[in-house]
Amino acid sequence: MNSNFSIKQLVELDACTRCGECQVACEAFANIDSRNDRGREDLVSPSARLWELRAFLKGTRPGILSRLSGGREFDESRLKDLAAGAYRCTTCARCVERCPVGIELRRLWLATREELAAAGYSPEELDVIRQAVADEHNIVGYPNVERASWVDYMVEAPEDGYIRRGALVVYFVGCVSSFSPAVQSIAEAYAQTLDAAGVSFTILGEDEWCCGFPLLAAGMSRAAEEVKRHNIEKIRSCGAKAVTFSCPSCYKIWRDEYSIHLPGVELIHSTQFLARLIAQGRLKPGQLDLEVTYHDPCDLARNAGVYEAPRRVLTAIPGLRLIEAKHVREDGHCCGGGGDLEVTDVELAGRIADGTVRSLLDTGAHSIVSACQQCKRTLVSSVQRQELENEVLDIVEVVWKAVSENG
Amino acid sequence: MHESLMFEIGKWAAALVFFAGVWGNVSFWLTGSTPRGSGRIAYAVRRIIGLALSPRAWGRAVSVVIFQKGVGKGSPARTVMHLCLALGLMELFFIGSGGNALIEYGLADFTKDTAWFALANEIGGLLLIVGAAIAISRRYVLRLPQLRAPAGTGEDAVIAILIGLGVVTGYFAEASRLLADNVAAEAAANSFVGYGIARIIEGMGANWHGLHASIWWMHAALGLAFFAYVPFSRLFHVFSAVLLSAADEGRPAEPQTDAGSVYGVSGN
Repeated sequence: MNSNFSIKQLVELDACTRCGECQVACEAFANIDSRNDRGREDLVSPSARLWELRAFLKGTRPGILSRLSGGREFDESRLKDLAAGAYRCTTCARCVERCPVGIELRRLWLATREELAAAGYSPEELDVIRQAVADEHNIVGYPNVERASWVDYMVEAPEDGYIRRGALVVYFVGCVSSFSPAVQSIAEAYAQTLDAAGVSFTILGEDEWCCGFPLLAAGMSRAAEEVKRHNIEKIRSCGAKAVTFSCPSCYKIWRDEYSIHLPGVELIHSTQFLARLIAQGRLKPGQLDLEVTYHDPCDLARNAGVYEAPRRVLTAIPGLRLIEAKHVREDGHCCGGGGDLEVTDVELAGRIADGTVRSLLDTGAHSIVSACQQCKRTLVSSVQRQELENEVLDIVEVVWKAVSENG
Repeated sequence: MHESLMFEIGKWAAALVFFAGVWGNVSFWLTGSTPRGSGRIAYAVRRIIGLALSPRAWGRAVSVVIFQKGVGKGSPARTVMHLCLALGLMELFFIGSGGNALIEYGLADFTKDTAWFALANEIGGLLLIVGAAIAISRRYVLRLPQLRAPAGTGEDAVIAILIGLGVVTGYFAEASRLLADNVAAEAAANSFVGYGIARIIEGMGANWHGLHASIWWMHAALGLAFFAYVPFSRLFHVFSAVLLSAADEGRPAEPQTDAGSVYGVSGN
């Protein structure tokens, strides 16, 4: 039985028409460096990969019918090639948007990774993440007691360190914003903004464990069960009415996997909460003369359906001019930082980011604004790599700037 | 009688292969997991019945099959290609083959020369030619990179040959039938392609009955081979993709979150 694949997914394998539109949309495939010998580069293409997956799954069944309908027996080498293709994907879901048949390709790739990881074909680098989450409950492997250290680095850190009993909202910061110096400013800005809006919120500090998304993306969803149980229990025990996130990946996995266990608890991304606070007059952004272009984070936009909230936030800031790029919303480019690609092929992730930066800056805007700490990290790295003068900001940083300048 | 028996055998052999292929695919699907681990066959039956009883599912299926909704997403050339191939095949299968079967069994109130029937089949064939020409051009002339996958390119050639030869033999079969049956020009002109070919070849003075029979058998064999091949090729998407489309309830709209609680410190 193909337990990692649902009946619907197996139907999808037979619904593919090999039109190749997914390949046209795939930024990983577009940025393959053929000089880099990593086996069958063509399997980075969603189209080729789907048919290889189909051949593999059908080939696991005996009989002439499966062979006649494309099933093949896979040796170790062929499985390694499939894995090399499957793990060089950012799970950005651009392919899903282009598929005329409506195949949920992103879910198919995650199921493929589950299948490959269970058989021992996941990249070794991802075992480091799994071990880090198991040992330290975060993806970087640092002692989780340091998770809220970003508060200590603040110029004006609150005395309570944002840990407040009885708060109505939990701000789930996420591993990247907590531990990566390049984007700790996102956590700072959001926390300060929530305070300015008079929101009753708290962070969990060391009681916040990794949301499990990197493990899910690695095909190791079972390894994420412990952290999920812990986080759910923490929310229940603190009695929060809502959980807010500055990380779209955290937001997405909480919405998809946690919400069923937390009935009545609202899950809201920072862009949605900021839009609400502005709409209800709790935040009054001041004048900010800035020309920006907005980059839709894949896990917030295509994968969670949030497109307009961030735009309402940006257009509510007086003086800010938003210039839309050519490829936005469902057609937005990927930053290269998703799907654990930075772990499995950092150079490919970098090339994807470089292309996205060039496309965004074609608008003529000086600043790129996103709503994801991972996007900010990869896009900042790209801007530096290309020796550009432009800046990359998270939307919460833009809002905090506007709010704090308004006094 | 002998020929009818041969055709019946061929027809049932093709049907057997077709349904064996369908069974192979469906039984593969049923190895998948179900939500909450429910029984696979029971789940599948419930879903199919649910879709069959859902007007919205039918609406989605019809909009995809007849109106080709979303099929050519992002590519006008592919939209036209698929429209031609899909409508051409549907016409020739349902109206052409179905109509001929009704005529054969004496159940039709029309003949092969009835204007609408003849015209529909000619147009069906032309649609296939246009669709196939675009498909061949994209693959072998323009050599679009997304169509140059390593696996399955043999399949492209098989499908193109079956369709191409099927259409050609179809028109020549019609041309030879018009000559063999000495169909009056006024009626024959409805089969405008076949009639055109007939006008070109009539000077050959061949044994039109014999020629028609031979070409008809080639055409029948190609059609049956095409039918039998469907479940073993990407052509099976005509069933699986329609099933997916019928079941696809689309994505929910972006939630409107501006009006919710601000969870203020003061309790507001």
